[in-house]
Amino acid sequence: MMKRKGLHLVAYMLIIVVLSGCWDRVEIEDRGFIIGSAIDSPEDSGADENAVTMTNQFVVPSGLGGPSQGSPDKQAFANITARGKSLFAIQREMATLSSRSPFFPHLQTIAVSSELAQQGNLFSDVMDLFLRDHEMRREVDVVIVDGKAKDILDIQPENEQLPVMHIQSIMENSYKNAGTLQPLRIGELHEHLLNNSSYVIPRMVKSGDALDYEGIGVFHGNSNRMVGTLNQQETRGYILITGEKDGGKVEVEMDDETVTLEIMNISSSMTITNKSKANIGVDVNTDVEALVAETFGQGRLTSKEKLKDLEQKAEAKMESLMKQAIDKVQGELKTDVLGVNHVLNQYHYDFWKGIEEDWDHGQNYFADASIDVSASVNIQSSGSVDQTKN
Amino acid sequence: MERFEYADNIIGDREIMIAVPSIVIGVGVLSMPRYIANPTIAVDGLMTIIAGGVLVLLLTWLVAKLASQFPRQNFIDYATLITSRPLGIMFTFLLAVQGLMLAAYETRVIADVATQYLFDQTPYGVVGLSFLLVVVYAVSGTRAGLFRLNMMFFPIILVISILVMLLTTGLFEAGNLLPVFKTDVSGHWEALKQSIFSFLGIGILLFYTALVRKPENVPRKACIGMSIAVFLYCLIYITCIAVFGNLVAGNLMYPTVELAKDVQIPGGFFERFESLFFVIWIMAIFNTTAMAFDVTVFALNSIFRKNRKMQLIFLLAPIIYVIGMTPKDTPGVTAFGTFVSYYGMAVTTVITVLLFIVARLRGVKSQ
Repeated sequence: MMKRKGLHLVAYMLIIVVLSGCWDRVEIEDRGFIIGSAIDSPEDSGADENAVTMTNQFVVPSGLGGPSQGSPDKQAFANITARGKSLFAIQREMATLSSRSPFFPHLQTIAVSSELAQQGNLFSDVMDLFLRDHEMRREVDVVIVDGKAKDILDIQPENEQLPVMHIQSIMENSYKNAGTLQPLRIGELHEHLLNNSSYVIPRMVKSGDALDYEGIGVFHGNSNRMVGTLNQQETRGYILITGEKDGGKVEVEMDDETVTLEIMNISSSMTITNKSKANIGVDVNTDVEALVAETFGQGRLTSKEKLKDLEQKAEAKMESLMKQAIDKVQGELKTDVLGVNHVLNQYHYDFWKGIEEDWDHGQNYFADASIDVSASVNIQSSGSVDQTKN
Repeated sequence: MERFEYADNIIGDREIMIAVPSIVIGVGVLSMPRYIANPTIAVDGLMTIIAGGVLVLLLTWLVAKLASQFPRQNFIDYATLITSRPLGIMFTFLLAVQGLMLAAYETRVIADVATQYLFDQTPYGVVGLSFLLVVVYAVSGTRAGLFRLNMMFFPIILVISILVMLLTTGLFEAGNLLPVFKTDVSGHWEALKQSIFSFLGIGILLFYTALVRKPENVPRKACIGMSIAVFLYCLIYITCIAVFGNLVAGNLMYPTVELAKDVQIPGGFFERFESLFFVIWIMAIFNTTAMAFDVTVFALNSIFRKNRKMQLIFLLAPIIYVIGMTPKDTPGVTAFGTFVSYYGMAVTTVITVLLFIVARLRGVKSQ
């Protein structure tokens, strides 16, 4: 009996030891939480040509004061840069450079320099790790940075302690400005890479101490590199064509006075009108709902004719914006980021299969397609006053 | 006062209804969208899942009909009655091997998935061992207890699946579902095989029907249970395609897990939803493995006259472990899974159809 009890005791002791153990235990103090990564081409791309540099932003928890404590003297982040032939090798090297081992599941933003993105295939190569590694999430945002990508991790934001959080807020606020797009999720990027289709990635520029989030980088799917950028005007046109996001503004000149309209809702549709290889006809219809946001002048706006007139002027303005964007991507860049390929694939599958191989490369049927645009604007209200000044 | 006896080893028909989706929904769901999406275009695979589901529903009905003709009789008894004792033993043995291999496969895949997403450093052998030990504990208890465990876990599994789908609706892109009806016949055929394989495990009804209080209800209830699984698969597939698109869904190792990783709860106070999803999905896989193991023990035990349940469990557990841990790498595990699927489907279908026809021809009735 005693012997049996003793045996049980030993068994229980063993259970305690085994059950409370954890093979993969990493103390939270030892984890280096990375919230942002920046990838650049090295300055001296001498001997090893495919080398890249990666800068990771680690959070330094002791630098993050609570709201009542005011701002502590310490910086809340540390940027560590390393260089290597593969990102994984860089990561491992980074573990030797910092006291905490890199931990990626809280990664928010990946910034890639436009210089690197312009080199063929390198961009998708560096994205591989972010898609393959199990620590990565498909929700991470990707942006292109004009100049050095690591610079944007160094900015000193006014009311945020972490530069990456500042970048995130800038991107989240982007819907207020029609010149920008929502950030691209890496999961969507994976879709484009697998599809071999062309795509756009929002672009960020550092000017002094501030960040400008404006314009987009155009990526050619087949050659797998960034082929150009759209400026703010062209981006507006792009958004009107794709209807990718709502919001923004448009300025209309009316009787020498500027009227600013706030765009509430954009819905666009694309239809294929002509299916002949040499001349594919595409119709883009964009419906916009808008409000009068601001007027510089004295005109009354409540009369029906006046609103009609305003709508027509706004339509003309939008159509010219859209044409501007089409001229750029079709004429200059010859890259289909407008989504014509998706419409063809989804609604004209058999025809698409015949031209897929020569769409925006090779024969480039896309460059020969004729794309017609039409916009219709509906102004819902003139705001809370009719006139400001008589 | 009479003491209420839980361990009466008789189960209601609602328990058998839940047992069917419980065994069917296992590790297959985690990778199912990849196998279906690969040979098909856009959301066409949905038709294949439904077609596979209908075929499996037919099989379910046949299995349940056969078993329910012999109330309170073990499989070996009615198989002997229909054919002969040696054939009865052989059929029992073949079906037991199916349960054994299914348990081994489930253990291995959960170990692999857990190693990939949760424990980097822990060897899969250790994860598999601890999982299997818990399964052994469950199987050692009463059979009715196992069914009640199913009843308890299943609603939680349903809720988490639906939650994953609701929380990813923000990422839906309707364009991903187009074009429709463009897949050719060979693509559908390839996907149909995968779809049928993901509904593996219906053979348990051949054994468990003997425990049911009202066997005449079993065919209907089993089909309802199976329909739940088919419906859930359809929902998961549509969600995967709408969120990822066909190409990405066909490219991810475990699309369903990635779906859970994509969930973002508004407000951002809870970032890693997949941890919750994993905990609950391990419950689903636990149910499948425990039932596959238990049905093996049940089948082999019925060959002996004496009750040798515990001996069988301790003999079979190491065998399951060794079989499960034998494949060296992912292709090995995939090949093993394909083998288990082919074997399981072939054995279940052939034995059921054979017994059904012979029983009809010879006019064998329950005694």
